[in-house]
Amino acid sequence: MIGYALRRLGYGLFVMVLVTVFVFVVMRLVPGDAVSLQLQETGVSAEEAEALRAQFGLDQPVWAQLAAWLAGAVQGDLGTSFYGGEPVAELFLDRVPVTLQLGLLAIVIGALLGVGFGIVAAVSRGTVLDAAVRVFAVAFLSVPNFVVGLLVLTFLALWFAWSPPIVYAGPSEDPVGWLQQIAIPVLALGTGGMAAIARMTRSSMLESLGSDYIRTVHAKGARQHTVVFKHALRNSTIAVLTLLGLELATVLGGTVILEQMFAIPGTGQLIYQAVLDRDYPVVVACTIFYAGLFVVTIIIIDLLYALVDPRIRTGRALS
Amino acid sequence: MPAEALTPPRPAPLFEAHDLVKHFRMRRAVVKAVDGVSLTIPRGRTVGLVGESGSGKSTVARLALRLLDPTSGRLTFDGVDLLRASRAEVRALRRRMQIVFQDPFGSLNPRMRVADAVGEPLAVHRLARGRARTDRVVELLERVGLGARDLHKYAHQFSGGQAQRIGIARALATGPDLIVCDEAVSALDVSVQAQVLNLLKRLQAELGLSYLFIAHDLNVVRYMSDEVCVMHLGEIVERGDGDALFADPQHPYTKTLVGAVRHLPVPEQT
Amino acid sequence: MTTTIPQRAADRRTPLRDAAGALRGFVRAQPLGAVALVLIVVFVLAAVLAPWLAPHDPLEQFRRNILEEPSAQFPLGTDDLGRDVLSRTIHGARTSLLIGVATTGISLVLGTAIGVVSGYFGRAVDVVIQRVMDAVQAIPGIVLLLFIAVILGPSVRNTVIALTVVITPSFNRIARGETLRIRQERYVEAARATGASTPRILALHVLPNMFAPVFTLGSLIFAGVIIAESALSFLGIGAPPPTPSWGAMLSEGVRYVERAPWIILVPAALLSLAVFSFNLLGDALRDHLDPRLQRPVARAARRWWGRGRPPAGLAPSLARAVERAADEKDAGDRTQT
Repeated sequence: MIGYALRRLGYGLFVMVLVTVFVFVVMRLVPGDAVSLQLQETGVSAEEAEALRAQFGLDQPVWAQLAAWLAGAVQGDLGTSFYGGEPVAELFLDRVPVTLQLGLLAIVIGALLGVGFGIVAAVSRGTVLDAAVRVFAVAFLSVPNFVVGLLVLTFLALWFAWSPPIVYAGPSEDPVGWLQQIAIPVLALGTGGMAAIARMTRSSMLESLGSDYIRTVHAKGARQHTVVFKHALRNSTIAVLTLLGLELATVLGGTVILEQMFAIPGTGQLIYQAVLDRDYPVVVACTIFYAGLFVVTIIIIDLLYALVDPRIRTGRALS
Repeated sequence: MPAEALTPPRPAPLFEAHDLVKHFRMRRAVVKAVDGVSLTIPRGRTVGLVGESGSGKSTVARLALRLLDPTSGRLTFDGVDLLRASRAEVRALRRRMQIVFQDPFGSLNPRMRVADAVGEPLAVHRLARGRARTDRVVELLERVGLGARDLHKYAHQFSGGQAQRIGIARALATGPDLIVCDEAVSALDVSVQAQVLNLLKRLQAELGLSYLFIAHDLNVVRYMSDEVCVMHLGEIVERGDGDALFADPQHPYTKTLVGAVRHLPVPEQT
Repeated sequence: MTTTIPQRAADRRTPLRDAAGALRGFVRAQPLGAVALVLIVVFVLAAVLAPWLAPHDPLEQFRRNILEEPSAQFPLGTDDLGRDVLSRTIHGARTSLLIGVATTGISLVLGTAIGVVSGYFGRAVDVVIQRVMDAVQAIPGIVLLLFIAVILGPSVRNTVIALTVVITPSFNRIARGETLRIRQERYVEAARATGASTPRILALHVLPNMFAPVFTLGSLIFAGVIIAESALSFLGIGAPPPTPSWGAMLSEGVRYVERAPWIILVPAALLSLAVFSFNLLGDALRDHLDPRLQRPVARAARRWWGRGRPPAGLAPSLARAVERAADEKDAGDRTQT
């Protein structure tokens, strides 16, 4: 098991190195470099631009920039923002908790509702109820989360003349204001996950219900609902857990737009602002951070799989 | 050797395998799937290979056709050294040796019509095209008991027995000398088995085919073969005339095989 | 053996007739999928015929009619620049469809090709390609989109490029998985035994057998592309203004929500409906094409159990056994001649 865990970790590190290389190579595709792009509108002199390039190491070849960045990253230095001059790591850490609160709340709500609806649909397969859950699930999957947020916002504004607070306050400072502010984004982020999880729960439960294993249990005379809950649900857990992990990536992606819309100072807003400002050190760090989060999630899922199913440890998994 | 008695002017056998070895390297262990197998298939004759699953029979089949590369050993087809032959030579020889698999549905591409499946060897070796190819396919289908009305169907529209006939028709397309039947009837019901076996026998008589006939069912192998080789754990442990082997098994493994099937009826030729 | 083939003329099947038959089967088996198909056809027609359908030029600014309510002249009202919302919405379908078709098409071909090559040849090629794909997939879609879009700058072409980079790994993954499965199939071995070349095997045996999952994914991806395109233009880094795009209309309209809600309601509804249709179609395709759920199997299973619901994962061998029992006789009879 430890050997397997180490192998997965090694794989994760390798992928992260590739991500970093990829990010730097794509940056290199920019016609001209970051400083000239950034400064072409502000009319800075060539000497000043040259000094700036030297300051940010942009006069170095790309591989040297990459190596310098990696060396810094290992020590926790992700570079400094082009704008405020703050260390990127600091900017980032300030905002991570906000986004995590938002994302985790959305996932928990989505998971609870999704598993519930999925079970209902599976148990009542072929009935109107099942069809309704399926259609609604597809419908919820189809409304982009920023549209959900936008529509809720519109209706609240039109009918109740209510809009969320503009200035963000953390949950410890102003719990009520915080709830008001994040309620809509959490809802908007959660519905998509809910729909996906409901579908996955339904189909994997049906699969377990159709398998020989469950048929045997049936034949032994266990009562219908015992069968459903004890066996099918347990067998569906892995699939749902996997989806939850992947959903985290979707939700974090969704925060980019929703944090912007609802003035929530999380990492999503940070990366969006950085993209608009062409603040490359921040963009690079954010992109790599998001990828890292995803890779860590994948590895955790892999390890959970391996705990549940020992065969995976020795064979090939997810590679 | 009965083959020599029958065809004295051409003593060279059609196919020869000498000391064939195939090892698979797994994570930690080496699996000796085939461990020193020698076989000779005379022209127009059938050599049977019997053994339980995992004994290496199917690996021998794949080695014989160069679908797998042996670890060591020698393979000769009509005097040509198969292992030294160039890619082009091997490709050309594939016209003359074909295979029929166990699972008739699995061995037919579900997205291909019968006309294209049976015609594929003709297309690959550029033997016929257009109308001529269709006519040849119909001829082949009729030979195995199907017909022109099946040309445009897909595999899933057939029963298992019919699908296996399609597989046989495809194997016959290039006019081969040797057909390897790898558990060719094992997936079929007993009554259908008998029909397919008799079809294979008839084709052999009509076309002068040689078979390497592989099965786990001793009865079936005995019915088909001029010589029976019993395979166990990658080696041939006993060989000889089917009936003699059946009457007086020497090797302990052969005895258990014979004991297991003695009470079953032998399929009768119609 | 020069017998003529009387049945052949009557029995001749063309790809077109095949497709029509397949479509009929699909519509009959998947009513929801049929509904989705109709919606998609309407969507495509609206996009293609936009210049003739739209009452006004989508870019024309009627300065005297700013933020006007729906009326006879402007059926869905006007926006803050006095542009006709209906015309912009119809032309927005065009932008969505154009980007959707281009992105899905390019990444389907590219991703499938990469996946097939990677899966069929295996070894070092496979390892290198798949690790690169893993790396691209590790970056959340929207972040990667932002990253690429900002580097390339906003334009329709660059949106397609950014989306293609994000989506290609999905097609690669499914094509590679399918290739690994198909490569093991007996019919591929049979083709190799015949002497078929690798390109021939890939083209005639491997590719045709992955159409179902690849096109199902294509439909779902199309839905995702429509969302992503609107999200990018919502954020102001997709197709540049004044290109009519649903996402851009939403972000422009949100400021005037209280005065003119129609500006965002219609594009929001149509955007969702378009995505919904493609999702629904993808779902129906999956149900329809999944070999485990294929109709002959279900039919046989129903015969087997008399009535009632057959389990979803019924082994095909069992179903075939049922069918075989029914058809075997006539095959046998014909052989005896």
